[in-house]
Order: sequence, then structure tokens, then C-alpha cells
Amino acid sequence: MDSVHAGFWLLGLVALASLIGAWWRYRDGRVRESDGQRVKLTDTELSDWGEHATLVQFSTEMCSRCPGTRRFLRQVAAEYEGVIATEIDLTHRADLASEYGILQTPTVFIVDGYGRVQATVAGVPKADSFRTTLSDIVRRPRDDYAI
Amino acid sequence: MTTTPSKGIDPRGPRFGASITSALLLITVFLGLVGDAQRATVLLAVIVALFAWGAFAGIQRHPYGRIFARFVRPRLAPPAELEDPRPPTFAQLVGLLVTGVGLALELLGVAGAVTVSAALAFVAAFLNAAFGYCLGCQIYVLLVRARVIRPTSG
Repeated sequence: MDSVHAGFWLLGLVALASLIGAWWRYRDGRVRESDGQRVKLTDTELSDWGEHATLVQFSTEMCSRCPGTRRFLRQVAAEYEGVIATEIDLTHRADLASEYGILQTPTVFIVDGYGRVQATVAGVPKADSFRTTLSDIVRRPRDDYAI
Repeated sequence: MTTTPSKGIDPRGPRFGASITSALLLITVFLGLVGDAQRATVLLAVIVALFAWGAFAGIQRHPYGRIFARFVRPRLAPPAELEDPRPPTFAQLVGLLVTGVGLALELLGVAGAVTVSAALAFVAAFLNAAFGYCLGCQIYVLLVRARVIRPTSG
């Protein structure tokens, strides 16, 4: 292959990597609301519960963006009454990674007062939409939860 | 959870190193594409050695980490927060595996192995340098999930 063709391949490679990066940046940290019926956490997974909501962060020891997310969640939890932030290290609970289909860290669950997962975030939560979703979950009247 | 984290590092350090690594990998891919397999292999062997340095000595003791600390960091504002050095060190190990396998296959006679592995490693290094996304770190949780990595304590 001559240098000109090789150069085009390099450009293609850089473009591909940039596309992957842009796609990742777009997807990362999006707050996805779930119906609250599928996944339920119990006392075996969590020892501390918030009355209205618990922010559960799944981490590992080799997670570069987990400490920042931990600080963010603690800060958010402090802004709300009855909301606490807690963390599960998947290195010691690999079973939970399989059970909840966690493919990356940090992953954050917003769990309501009944242990139902109301929203999930893969990656570092986007701050604004995270607060909006949490406010919405915390504000819901308790009667709404009746199935 | 019980292990105490080592002293924090400037998160821009690993990204600085990743940008040099991605440039070297891109040159390797170029050499491979124009048919200069010999030089491509030698350059990849250097990159493999550098990854091994980072993976076994730790990211702070890697030459790029030292260059960053000595010449780049003094010119920058202090970082907003420090980072655990273990994730980028683990990512160096992942880089070592990808490039090491490519190098080994090439030496065993698989034509193009250097070019392909350099291209793969380039994507990972570029994502780290340009987007701050540590692909190698993300692989850790998949290994935990597959029970390849098991907790050593507790």
C-alpha cells in the first residue's frame, strides 16, 4: 500500500475512534427511568435505606470515575430529605453484576422507599436530569405505588 | 473496600501519556500499512515495553508520568480532584495484553498482527486521550462479572 492510501486509512481510524468517543459521551450518564416493577433490592443488598429514596452506586476498585460520582451522589443526597447515598463494590459482589446486568462502572440505581429501582444510570450521571428524576421520584405520593 | 487507596494522581497525567501512546500506535499502524513490517514490529515492541513498565511499576513511575510531573503539570492549574492510580495502571495491563498478543503473533508468523493490534490499542488510547474514557478500566468490571477476577480478601 502506498503512503497516500495508508494516510486515508489512518484518517479513517481516527474518525472511527472519534465517532465511538462521541457516541459514548452522548450515551454516558443518561438517566433511564424504569417502571419500578422489574428490579427490587432487599436488605441483603442494602443495609442503609433512605426513607424516600436510596442512591445506589455500583463500583469496583479499578474505576477511574467512581470517586467523582460518589462525591456527586453524596452531595445530591444531602439536598433531599430522606435520601441517602450508598455504594456497593462489585469486586466483592460479582453476583449482583450478573443479576442486574451491570456492564460498566459507575452504574447508579435510584431506589424508592420500597426498594424498587425507579431509574438507572450507566456512567457518570448527568447532573441536571439526575436531580430532575430524583425530585420526581421523591415527590410522588406514596399511594401511587399501589399496584 | 478495605484496601487503602494509594496517593492520588493528577487525572490529566494518564491522558497525557495516552496521547503520546496513541501517536506512537498510529505511526505503527502506518508502518504496517505501507509494508514496513520490520519497523512496525520494532516500534510495537517498544510500546509493549512501555505498557509493561506502566503495568508493573505503576502509572506514576512510567516515563510519561514522570515527564508529565516534571514538565507539564507545573504549567497547569491544580486539578479539580485527584485520581486513584490503580485504574490507569490496570488499563496499562490491558494495553500490554492487546499489543503483546499482536507482537507475539507477528513473531510467530501471522502477517498483519502488529497492524491490527496497534489499531485496536490506538482506539483505546485515543478514547482515553481525547475523551477521558478509560476503556481498559471498563474491562475490569466485565472480568469481575465473568468471575475471572475474584476478591483477594473478604
